[in-house]
Amino acid sequence: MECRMTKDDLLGALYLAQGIVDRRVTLPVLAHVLIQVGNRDATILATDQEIGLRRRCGAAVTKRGAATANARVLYEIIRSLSDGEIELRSDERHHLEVKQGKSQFRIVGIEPSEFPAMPAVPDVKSKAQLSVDAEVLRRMLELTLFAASSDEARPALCGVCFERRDGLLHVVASDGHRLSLVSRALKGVRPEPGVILPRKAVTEMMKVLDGLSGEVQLTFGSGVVFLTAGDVELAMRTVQADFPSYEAVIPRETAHLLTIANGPWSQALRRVAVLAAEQTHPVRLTFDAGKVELSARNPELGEAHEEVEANYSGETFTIGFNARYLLDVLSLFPGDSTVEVGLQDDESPTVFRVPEEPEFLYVLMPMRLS
Amino acid sequence: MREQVNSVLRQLRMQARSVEQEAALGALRYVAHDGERCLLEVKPLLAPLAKEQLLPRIQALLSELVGRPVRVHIRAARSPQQELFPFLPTPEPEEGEGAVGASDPYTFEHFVVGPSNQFAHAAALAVARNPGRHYNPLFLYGAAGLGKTHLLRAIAHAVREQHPTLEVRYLTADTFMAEVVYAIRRDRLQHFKTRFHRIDVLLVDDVQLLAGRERTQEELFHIFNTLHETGKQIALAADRPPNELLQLDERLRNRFGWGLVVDVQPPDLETRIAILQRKSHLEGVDLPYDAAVILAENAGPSVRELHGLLTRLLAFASLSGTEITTALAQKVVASSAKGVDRPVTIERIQEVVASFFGLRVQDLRSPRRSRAIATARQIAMYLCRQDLGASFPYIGQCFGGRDHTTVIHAVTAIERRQAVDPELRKVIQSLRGMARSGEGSEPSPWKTSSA
Repeated sequence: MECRMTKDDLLGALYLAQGIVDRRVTLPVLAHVLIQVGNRDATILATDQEIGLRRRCGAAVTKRGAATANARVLYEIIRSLSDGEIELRSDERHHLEVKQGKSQFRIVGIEPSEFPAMPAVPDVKSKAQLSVDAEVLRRMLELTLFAASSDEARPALCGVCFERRDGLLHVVASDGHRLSLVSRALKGVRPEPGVILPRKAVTEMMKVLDGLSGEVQLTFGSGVVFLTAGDVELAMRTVQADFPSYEAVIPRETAHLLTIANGPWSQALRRVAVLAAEQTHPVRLTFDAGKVELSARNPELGEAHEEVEANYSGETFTIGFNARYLLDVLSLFPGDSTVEVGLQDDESPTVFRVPEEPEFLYVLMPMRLS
Repeated sequence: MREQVNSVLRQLRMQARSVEQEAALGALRYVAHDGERCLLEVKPLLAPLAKEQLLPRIQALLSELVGRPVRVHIRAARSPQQELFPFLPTPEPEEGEGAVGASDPYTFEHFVVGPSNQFAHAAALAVARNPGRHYNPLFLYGAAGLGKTHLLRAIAHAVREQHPTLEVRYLTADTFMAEVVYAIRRDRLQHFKTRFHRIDVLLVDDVQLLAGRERTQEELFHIFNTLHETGKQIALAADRPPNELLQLDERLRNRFGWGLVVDVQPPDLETRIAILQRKSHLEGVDLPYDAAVILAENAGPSVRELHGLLTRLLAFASLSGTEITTALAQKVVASSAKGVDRPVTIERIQEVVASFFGLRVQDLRSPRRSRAIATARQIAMYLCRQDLGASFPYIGQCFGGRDHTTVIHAVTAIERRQAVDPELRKVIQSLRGMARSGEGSEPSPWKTSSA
């Protein structure tokens, strides 16, 4: 194969490939990208056998064909070249030649046919496909991914679940201690009930969506979900597990309601949490008329105490939370937004909402205070 | 449900038979219920006692109070953080994966080295420092409770710390088997293989459990070859050396012996004292030397038993608010020896019956049918039914996965024979006594699959 491509195009594709290729290299070919050159364009492919990336780029083609190269090496080379055109050529010994001006590289490749086949977007009716604005989807993922678990022993929780119910698309994640849910009415929604995509897939999806605008497509195949966004196609294997039924843990009504300004509350939490015990970061919150008192104590380090103004008129009430779980969610909203906290008692799930973004909901389990 | 649980606990507390029981009943806390199941929590120190001695009665009383059967689960409270899905299975850190964190007790630091395990320790340490370079595979063997698991997990821990880029996996043969079955059922065998081929350090515990599992052995064989060829580290543990693992495929046995085979012996007195001191230090308790000597002299050969005695002593001291003295240690040792309330379990019955008939517990669980074994097995099944009230299917499962009808037959057969055979009646009587007291048997080297 032989072609010319711009640095921008190549680098964009290789950047996405970086996140996907298998760093632990079981099959050497999985550390490589495959460059397929067609009649008038080139496609760059990368996979770890769980996620597959296919990115089409414009190319001035001299000769069709394919070549592979180590993804990291190629990325480093392309990144260090100057802007403008780059020549790519492969020889019969599967070397890839990269040329720009007086710079010349010959990279060892692998027989292109060894590159694993990638699933193709199935030809499905529009029902299994969903069109969504790239920014909306990205935000939905951002609002949920952080709550997913990284404990691989519980695969169902190690990702983000997509599900249609009551005419809405629900995107939800939980690590067993908290749950983050975004529900939106979208056109043409029909994922199978409870499709889970692993953390890595969602992270890569967010990278693809970054900076993109306009409609993108999610297609739900059997065991695979495809994201089609402009020139990029991502095939993601789903997690073979059932997401726990979470409806029941979302409190419908709560006894106490508090509204509080996000900024001052987050800042106070950050300060107080410095003295919270490591690992679980327990912080004690006492709700009182017109205020919340935050405190933390660590027998080895000392104590912290702070009061923040809040809109609250119920009875005085104390509850413990992991400060990190609170800050994780508060940091996703602007400082001048208002947070609504619905509380039942100090052992029941607590609901957090932000009126500016009513599609979102966060449920957090308290900590026992000794 | 919370109210009903609390009322049951209050009621039982008035009938508590020991300080420990009373303390456990006071510390048990309702967590959640979902109609048929009810989850309770208690601090880790009291969890084994609560599960063994209190659970059945709590379950019975609660079901009666609620008016329908409720299955009660008791678990050790590990974190003050409460959970959204309390019934979602959480992997037990003792088994399988294990969260390796600051609190992981299975590190080289916490391993007490003595003449009995020095060699095994040094080999494990060498493997952890340079995985894949020396002793590949490393094969540790020895009786239960001598620290094989500890060493394997210490390797995992140390490799994760010193070589964070390497992929480490510790699992028991049981877990491995479950994963093979899962992969076959879900048609994900390729994915399963890819996942294992990625591993840089593979640690498989209790490989004797692979006996008779041909498909699982086959998968392990292939994984072993791939990893070994690419210079990845493998370490294994079993209750006997590779050449005695007769129920394993010969190819596998051979390979297990390729590297270094080391045995772990029961610790001598000095090491046992050191183990007790280290352990109590970890618990943040000051254990006087003399008390340690008393425990070390009286515990059986296994380190687990040693830990058991220590836990009992610490629980006793903390619950009764007394200091740890030699007198208290003697009391604990005496009560354990007499087995005042040594819980009778299916494993216990199997141990006692097996040792009485000069068999191994494994024989009772094996498919073998020689007359001597068959009778012993029937007696053991009978005792499990009569004295523990275990269900027929469960008993069957504990005896090598036999059908419940086999158990029913055994129990009826023994009942019938007892009626006409006074000799058998006497044997059963004395077996009952042995099961309740601590006599008559060595702890079994076989791990039971708790269901």
